[in-house]
Amino acid sequence: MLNFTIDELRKTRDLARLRSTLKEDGYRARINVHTGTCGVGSGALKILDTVMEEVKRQSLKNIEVATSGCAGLCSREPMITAEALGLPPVKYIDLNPEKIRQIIQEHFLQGKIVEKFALGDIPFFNLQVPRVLRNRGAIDPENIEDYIAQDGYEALYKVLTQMTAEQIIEEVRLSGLRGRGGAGFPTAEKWEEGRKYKRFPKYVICNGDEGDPGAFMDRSVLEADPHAVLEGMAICAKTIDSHEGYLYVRAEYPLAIKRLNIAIEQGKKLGVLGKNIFGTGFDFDLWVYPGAGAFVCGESTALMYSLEGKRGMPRIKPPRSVEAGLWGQPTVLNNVETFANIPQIILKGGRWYSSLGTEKSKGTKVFSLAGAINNIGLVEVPMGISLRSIVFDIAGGIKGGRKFKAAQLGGPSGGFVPESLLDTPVDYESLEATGAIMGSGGVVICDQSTCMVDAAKFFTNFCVEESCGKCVPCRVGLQVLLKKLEDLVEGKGEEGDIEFLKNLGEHIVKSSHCGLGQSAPNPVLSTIRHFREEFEEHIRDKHCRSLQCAALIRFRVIEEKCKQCGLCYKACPAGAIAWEKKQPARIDLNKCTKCKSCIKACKFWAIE
Amino acid sequence: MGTDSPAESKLDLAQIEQICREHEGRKGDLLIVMQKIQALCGYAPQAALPVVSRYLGTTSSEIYGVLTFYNRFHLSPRGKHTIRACRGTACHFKGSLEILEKMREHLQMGPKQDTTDNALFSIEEVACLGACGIAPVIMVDEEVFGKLEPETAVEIVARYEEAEKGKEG
Repeated sequence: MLNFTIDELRKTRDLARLRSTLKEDGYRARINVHTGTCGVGSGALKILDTVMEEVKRQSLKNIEVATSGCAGLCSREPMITAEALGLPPVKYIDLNPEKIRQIIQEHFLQGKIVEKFALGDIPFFNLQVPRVLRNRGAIDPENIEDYIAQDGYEALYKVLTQMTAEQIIEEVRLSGLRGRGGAGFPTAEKWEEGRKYKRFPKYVICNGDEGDPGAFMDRSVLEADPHAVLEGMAICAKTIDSHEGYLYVRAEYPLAIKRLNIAIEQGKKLGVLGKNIFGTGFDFDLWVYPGAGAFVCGESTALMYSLEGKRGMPRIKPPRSVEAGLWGQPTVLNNVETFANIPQIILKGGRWYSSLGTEKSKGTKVFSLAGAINNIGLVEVPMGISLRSIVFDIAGGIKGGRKFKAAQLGGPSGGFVPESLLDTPVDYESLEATGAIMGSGGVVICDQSTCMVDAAKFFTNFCVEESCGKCVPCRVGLQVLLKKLEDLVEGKGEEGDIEFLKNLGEHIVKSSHCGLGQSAPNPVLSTIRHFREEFEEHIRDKHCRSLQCAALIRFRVIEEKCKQCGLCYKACPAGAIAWEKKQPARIDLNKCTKCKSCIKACKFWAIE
Repeated sequence: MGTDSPAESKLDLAQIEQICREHEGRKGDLLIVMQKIQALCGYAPQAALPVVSRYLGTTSSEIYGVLTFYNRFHLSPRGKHTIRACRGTACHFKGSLEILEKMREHLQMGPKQDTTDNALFSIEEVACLGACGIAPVIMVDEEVFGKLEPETAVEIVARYEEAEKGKEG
């Protein structure tokens, strides 16, 4: 087989660009349906079917129908991007088959933007700096040519033909890139170490075991732009002289796994991955390993044991993985987002990358925003932006006019940031000082209906379930922590419980073996630190201000607050509420099943 | 779980052997081999362990250790459809527990039961499906459903039930 050359890469790139340019005598318009997991889960495939039907039914030969990954604004899916000659690109949101038919008629046939379905000019997109996400929603992740059209595999060609390993490491060092999995270890340093050990074979591993509940950055990147990650891995492979790479991806992400496999196959077929890449004699083969559902496998040593077909239990470091990783061989493991950053750093230079950010945290960071906010989705922001700006400008503030209570960062290893610390800039060190962590980038926003004690219990329960059981503080300590939190939620809290939780939590942090145990008490410690009064209320007053903990709710209507609207009466499945027009409602406690339907229905916090 | 389940007698040991043969001598492929076997049988049957052990060179106890470590492996037959209810943070704050309970109630499942008596459905709680943007979420087999209420989740389960009834009739 003839090797794929740089000329062919550029020819493919130019052809793909030409193909995607709208023109009078070709495709005059393009309907791009976003089909990431969030899109599909909201009905994007039905939208795609409707578009195909209409195009066929009306023989619309000059409209191209394309699919791409997530566009970033998950809460407004299904979504399309409409491109047509003579019109600016428009994103249409919250679609259903009727709406898309109308859009085809008006936007594509009459050349008129359908304002009422269009996404306006919102800060959600304006404040972002897409680097890792630069191709999101714009390319077809299942077509390598689309990636090549965006200068894909140019960086790999450059490192294979024009750069020494030292030069690559120097460029990455200049970029200031730190591990995006959460710990923030300098990437260049890790690669340097990986290169230093001269035992072969060496391995490159991409950690796609995104286990933090509330985090979906890696899924989205893998689904929307898989080649960027593969190219980053190949560049790392050249740097450390490795020829085998593994992507360990959660089995809960079937679409990401499918698209990665397609991408690897296409890359090998073309000759930009696999054997004799670009005819340079450099080989790099890749495999996708689906995880088997164990959170702890996101820890690097556990992940490697899992790849070896063993129980994923972390081991004591040193030796670090760069010295003795997979099968005891030198191994460089990085997160999805870290690898996805690499090709652009090589092409545009480390200095370009580090032009954004703070002193110690350079470039951009991808966050997944979820919870009680208006704009849920995936965002990429420059390091140093304030949390407040993320919550109130980009995420559009709290939904339904409620009040912000806390931002949860870093999942079960992270913590809660209260309103008073919202001006904290997003960088590794500043976030850690608040008791939270940068983490992998999952941010869940809580409004006043989230009980902080219940939230602490939720995460502790998660860690109890996911503890591998190897060391005592984590295995047993977390269970004791959980039992105490359960007592609090059930109204059985006693004086001294807060100190007990704090003490035990700190001991677990100090004495646990791996990252999971060392960080598992963080959610408890940070809620006590910032929301101590809620713990005190649960213990002393047997009161839950968020009306979450059923055992602490009296189920009594506060007559002064009751607007006599009858919503609670209609919502009650047990027939326990008596109400008549212009009369406050009354709850019959003998019939009440404490299901909280009335509390959810009441818009005025009139039930306590 | 009943050992008299028809699934156990239907096991295709020849196919299990075929899977193992492709990975002969490669201990490290244990997870992949067991995932393939589970895809074939719907669960990880005990009868497969000696076969896997023979081909891969791992002891049965090691295999058992691995199977019980990872959430995705099941030692008893599963329902035809797997419902994965997301219990991640975003879903939790948006009422995923209630959705889970309502689905279990609809399927008449006891507190510790994870598979329905008619073996049509298994329910699993998963840490996070990573579709927080459309929370609360469930996944039926490989299909994701989002922005759910307890009622709509039950409707989705009911649709699968209907489809199964259609197949019988």
